[in-house]
Amino acid sequence: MNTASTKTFRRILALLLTLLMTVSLAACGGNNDGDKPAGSSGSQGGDTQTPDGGAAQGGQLAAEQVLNLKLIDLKLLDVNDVRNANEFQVLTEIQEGLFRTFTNEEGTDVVENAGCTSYDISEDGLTYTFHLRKECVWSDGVPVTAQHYVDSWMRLIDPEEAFSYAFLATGIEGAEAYYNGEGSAEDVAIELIDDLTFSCTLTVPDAAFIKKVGMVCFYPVRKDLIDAAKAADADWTNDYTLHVYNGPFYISDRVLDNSMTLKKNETYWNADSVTLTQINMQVIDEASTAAQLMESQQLDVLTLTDVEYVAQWQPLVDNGTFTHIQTTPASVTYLVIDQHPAANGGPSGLMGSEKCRLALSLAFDREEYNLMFYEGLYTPAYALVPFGMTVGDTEFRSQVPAKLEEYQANLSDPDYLKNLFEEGMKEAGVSGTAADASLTVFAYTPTVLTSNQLEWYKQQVESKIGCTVNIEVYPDSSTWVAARNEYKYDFYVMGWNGDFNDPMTFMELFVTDNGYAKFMGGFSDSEYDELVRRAGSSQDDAERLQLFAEAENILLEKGGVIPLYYPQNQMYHQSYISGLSFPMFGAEYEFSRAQIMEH
Amino acid sequence: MKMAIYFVRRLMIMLLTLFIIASATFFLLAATPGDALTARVEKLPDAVAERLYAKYGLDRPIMERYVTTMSGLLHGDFGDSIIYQGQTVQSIIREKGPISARLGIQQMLLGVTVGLLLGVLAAVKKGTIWDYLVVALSILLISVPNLIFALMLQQVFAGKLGWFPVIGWPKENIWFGGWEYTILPMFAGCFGYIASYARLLKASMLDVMNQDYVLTAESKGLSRGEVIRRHVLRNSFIPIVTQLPMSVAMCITGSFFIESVFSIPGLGLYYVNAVAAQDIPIVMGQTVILSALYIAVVFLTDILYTIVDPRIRITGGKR
Repeated sequence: MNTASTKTFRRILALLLTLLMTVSLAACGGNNDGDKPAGSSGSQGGDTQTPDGGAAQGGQLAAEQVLNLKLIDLKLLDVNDVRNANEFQVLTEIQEGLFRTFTNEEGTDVVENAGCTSYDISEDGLTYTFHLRKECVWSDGVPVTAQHYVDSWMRLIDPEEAFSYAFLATGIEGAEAYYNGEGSAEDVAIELIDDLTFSCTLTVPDAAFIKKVGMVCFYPVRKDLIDAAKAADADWTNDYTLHVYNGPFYISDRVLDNSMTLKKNETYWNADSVTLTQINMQVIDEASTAAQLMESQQLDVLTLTDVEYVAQWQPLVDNGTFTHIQTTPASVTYLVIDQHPAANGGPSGLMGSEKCRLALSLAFDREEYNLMFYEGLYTPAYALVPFGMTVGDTEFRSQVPAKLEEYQANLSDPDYLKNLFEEGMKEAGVSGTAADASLTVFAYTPTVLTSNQLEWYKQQVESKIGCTVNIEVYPDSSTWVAARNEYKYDFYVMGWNGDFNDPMTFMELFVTDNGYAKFMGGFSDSEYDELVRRAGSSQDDAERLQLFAEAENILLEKGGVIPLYYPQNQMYHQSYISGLSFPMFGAEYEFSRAQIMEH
Repeated sequence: MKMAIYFVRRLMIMLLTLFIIASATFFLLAATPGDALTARVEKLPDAVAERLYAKYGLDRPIMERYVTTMSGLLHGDFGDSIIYQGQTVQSIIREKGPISARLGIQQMLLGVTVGLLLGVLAAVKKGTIWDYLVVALSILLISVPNLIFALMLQQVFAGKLGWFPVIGWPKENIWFGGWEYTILPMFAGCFGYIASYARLLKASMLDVMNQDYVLTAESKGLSRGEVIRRHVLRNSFIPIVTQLPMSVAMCITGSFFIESVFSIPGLGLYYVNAVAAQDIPIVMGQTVILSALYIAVVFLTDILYTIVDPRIRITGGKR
């Protein structure tokens, strides 16, 4: 029904690799198709909500409305400095920005207006004006005003603070120069209009901008309290007693690195839709302990990190004790290929060749990989952009066929890859046959899983192309980073979690000389750059989708990156809980409208 | 006078030891690849990354940081945590120290008591099935990591039988409240004490039993029970008494695995996490404070020797 959602968390996917999953429950990715439009202007519905919950209609509410969750303790409570999924989770529930993201019964993200009631976008697509909800107050009774948003956005790009997510705001006029220490705060085009209205102006139109500003790092802040804490030499970043809250809950208790208790915030503007009175969150390090707690109903929701429980818990799902939900995160894992000009084609000298890269890309049997390492629970990736990402309100993947699938027919010719690779060698001016070539893949601190995967890459390439593959393993990330910066690889595994719901969050990684080029292999193609640039500034969703599709095809045809799989999350919750949301962008579990039913 | 010189000399040695420990910790941490900010700055523009390093003083040369750190130590200022902003070592130890201490003391009391009883049993019944049972049990308890015990106890007594909470720790009345939370972690951590104290006392008792004065006592016609109680036990306690302070010092530093399994907000877990995150101020502070404690206990132990064993006397001056 309306606008943006954004959430973020991006970590190197090596972390996600630890989310091994068991058991063959058909991998799908089909449960996320499409969500909302990027509003071009105006207000929207979804304004007032009542709890409905979806599930347990007709059931009786339990007397005690307390939710028990697993916690990874927060390093900070500063919305502008948010970095990790656990911070997104808690900050989304205790604070509120312009929008709030839920999921509907199909599991699709639904973005509702929260802190704002509407917004306007100027004809040229550059100026955004936000109209705030006048009922919003902080837990100390102070109304939430436009000034609090302006303070927050300016603080987000404050060069002194060096916040990780500042880049989401650098599209605002003057922001990038200010953040890089070259401009001044006065030149940043964020403008306070009145108590309930503020606006900002972009340098170039950005259709994804509205999806970014719903994110936690754009939530309003109370500068008066931050300054007071600083003056008193107190630590506002991490000390919850110095904070006030404008979200559905507030922090009532916290034990560092151990537990946190949230209670319902009665001053929240939409408190009527909040049924839960308390949330207990506890750090649980051992996977088996967490499982133990789920089975004894002392924990209500859990995302599995340990595969074996998918099989073990199936009887509990069948008898209705647990509800099992699979979600597709905005995430893709791929092989990065060394295309930096300074690398001269990597150790093999061949990675500058489009044909060699494409041959490599096609050498991997993604179905086998998924079955072998992820019990078939993940989704094989034949393109870059994951399922569930939208352009406007159109799901991208459902409109754009995955390019690499087109080549699968060619693979019936056993010499196809070898011939393609050798053509590439010839073009690159390297003599000899494929058997003379030698590629290097590298990694650091491998686990049993990642070691086996390295062997698998080697086996696939050696058997299908005929060249040799060297596996190099580094003892820690620092030595690996040093080797990477010296281009001592032909390819390596990397993953990316999208920051906002638009293909741009993935496509921009491969634009020539972008900020991430040094991690992403340094693909460089003027046609690709131009298509992505146009898609970024176009305001026509159909056109944007087309431009992204063309750009993605170029990237894949030229072997700029080798997508391997899209991961899936295995989540379980007690069936007596209704109204939980699991948005793709937003909190991992949106529980502000959850209810505990009689059980 | 001799005594005073001895004290001063010991004190100097203690300070020197602490200095070496602090320096070694600093340089070892500095030599580790990467730092607390590595992961955070990977994707930041260079100019921004530099500002972040400057903010935490990590941009300065290593010797300069060493001098800053050491002069901070002199004033008891270890610096703020890099990971948990606003936390200092002192605030963390104040908050988490008592929790680890209670857990450790409970484990020790139970473990040492049971261990000593088993030790007596093994010594008195030497060569019988009881002796072998105690020896076998000690070896078993010492070879199985307490992580395994913790998980097994949790699974059976909290999970299956539901007699105790699966995880957690008393939040109020932290010294005497919430006993139900402490039972399983206490058992999980007491086995090491049982094993080591049983073996220690057994060996010591056997040693004493071979002494001439025990033979004398027996030849005087004292009953076996009386010989053990009056002559053997008292004298076999010398190694125990000197071992105990060390156990006390170790027990309050926390137990990583047990705290991790039962989600206990103690020092052990925090310390390990700080090392993993390369949170230098916290690791330095905790290392120095715990080392100081340990060194002080060693000193105390030496004094204790002279009290429990009149044969040992402090001699000052030259060796």
